[in-house]
Amino acid sequence: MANIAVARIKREFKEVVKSEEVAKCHIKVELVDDSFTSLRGEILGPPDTPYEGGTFILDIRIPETYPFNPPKVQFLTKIWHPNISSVTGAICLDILKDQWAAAMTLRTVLLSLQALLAAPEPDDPQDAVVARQYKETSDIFSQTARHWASNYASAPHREPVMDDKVAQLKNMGFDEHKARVALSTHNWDIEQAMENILS
Amino acid sequence: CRYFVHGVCRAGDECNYSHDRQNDTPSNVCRYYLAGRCTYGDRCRFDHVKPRDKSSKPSSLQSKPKPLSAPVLDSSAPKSTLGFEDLVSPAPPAQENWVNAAEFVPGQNGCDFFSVPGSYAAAAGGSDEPQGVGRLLGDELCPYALHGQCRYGEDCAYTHGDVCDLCGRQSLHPTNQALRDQHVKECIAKHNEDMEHSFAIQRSCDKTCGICMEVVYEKEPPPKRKFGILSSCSHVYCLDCIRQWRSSKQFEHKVIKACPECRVKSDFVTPSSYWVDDEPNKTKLIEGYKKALSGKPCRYFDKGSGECPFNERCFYLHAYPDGTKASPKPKRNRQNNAGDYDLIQQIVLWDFFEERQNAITHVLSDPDSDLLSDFFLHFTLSDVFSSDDESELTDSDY
Repeated sequence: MANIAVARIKREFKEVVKSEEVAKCHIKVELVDDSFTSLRGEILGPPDTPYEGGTFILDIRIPETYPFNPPKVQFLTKIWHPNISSVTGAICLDILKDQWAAAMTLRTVLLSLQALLAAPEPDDPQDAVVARQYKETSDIFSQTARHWASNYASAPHREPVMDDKVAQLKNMGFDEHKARVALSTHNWDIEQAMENILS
Repeated sequence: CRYFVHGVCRAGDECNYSHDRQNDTPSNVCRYYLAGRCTYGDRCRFDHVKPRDKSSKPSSLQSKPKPLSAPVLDSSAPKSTLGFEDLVSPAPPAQENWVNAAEFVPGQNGCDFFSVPGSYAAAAGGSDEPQGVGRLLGDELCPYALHGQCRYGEDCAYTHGDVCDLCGRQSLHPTNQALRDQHVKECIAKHNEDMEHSFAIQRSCDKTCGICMEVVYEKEPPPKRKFGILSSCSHVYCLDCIRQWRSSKQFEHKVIKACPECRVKSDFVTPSSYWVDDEPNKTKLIEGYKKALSGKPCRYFDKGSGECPFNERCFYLHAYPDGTKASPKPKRNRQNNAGDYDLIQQIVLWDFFEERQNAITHVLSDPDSDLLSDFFLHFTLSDVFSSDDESELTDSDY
């Protein structure tokens, strides 16, 4: 079985490399080693979203039973999104779980993830905190997501107010990422965030 | 005894068939070869030799007033070939016609060289003589000229046909217009069939399986070069891949029974050697598939000693050992104590059916499975592109 998985990944590789999305730098796949079972994916944050211009790195693991089972995909780049864990990068997307179909490819998976960035599904969340923020205070969600994208995915649009708040906590001796998570979780209220970190 | 002829008869002296070498020679010649259409070619276990000179020399017909088939009519004459001739040579009605009598060629049915037999019986040279135009004595075309060259050339007692532009053989009767037309018609039909065959291959040769992404006709080993045609959509998969997908255990029923590309549910997969997507051919293929299965005994019914949950809806044959078909059982609706009907009605036949099919085809050591897949291979080939596949099946598969 492993044979069919490897043979297919090799074919898909050529397909992705030739595809027009690659030509436009929207998606990218590369090998981690020679085994074809562990891959590195890359997607560009879609335009008109908080993720615009960011580059998000994905870890893709191909199971032995591929393509009869979906690849295991998670974000290596930290991201603020209702369907992606801000802690582990785990993705909640039906096609990577029970709605997988054997005709799907790395290309369609990456494009689906790109579409997921553009259209979050807060009713089927992976990260409950992010999902609540998305539903209740969508402005703060967008800014937070943009802030994360600019810091972790080198997206061009920065959020100076949020950068300042993170810098403040960092200057007080807190870990930058912890400070960012705490602030993001508490809608950028510095006191609440500090309490959260210290508790 | 044909086993004796090949030196392998195990019954020895107790054999019911003759072990006299003098008697068996005529029947050891392949009848299909003589008719020029033995599908086994070199692999045929019967002899591929032209008839012996004494029975086939046409010149003897001209020089002697008494043709070889005469003794058959003459009741006083000893029958040298155990009545074999009675069966196969048409009996001339009267003495004066003897000179025109059809020559006896073992196993051959008079002049029937250009009408394709519709059944095994016809191919084997049965005694039933259809009353067609081609049956008239004297309309016979020389079989040697027809299949290559006749060494008697101009002197041949038989008519040498004109060369047909389509098949390139001397198969056009020089005078009989009806026969000419018939041949041309058959030649065109054959030609069309060949064309369809070529088109089917053409259609299939670049098709890529949506699951393994390989070109189906380039898969290794060659027995894997088969399509699995979904009933409700036209996406291309090879048989192995789509069957494996549909028998996955880790997804919901409606996910795996749907096409992996368009998610349209198909109830079953039909194996085919060619890619088929147009509606008439697809219908024909599916019907043929069901028909082929309906001749195969159901392993669950087991000739009446077992129980098949699908009863009359089963696509396999439910027949008792004596050949009678099982009558449909009355439907039972099981009720549980809450008064709800049992789910037994909801079992989808094809799921079961597919799983069983998988089990059969995956066990390669099972000789039956080879037979079955060969059968399908052949079946799909002949059924889609020829109308008289009945004889094909009977001849080459069994």
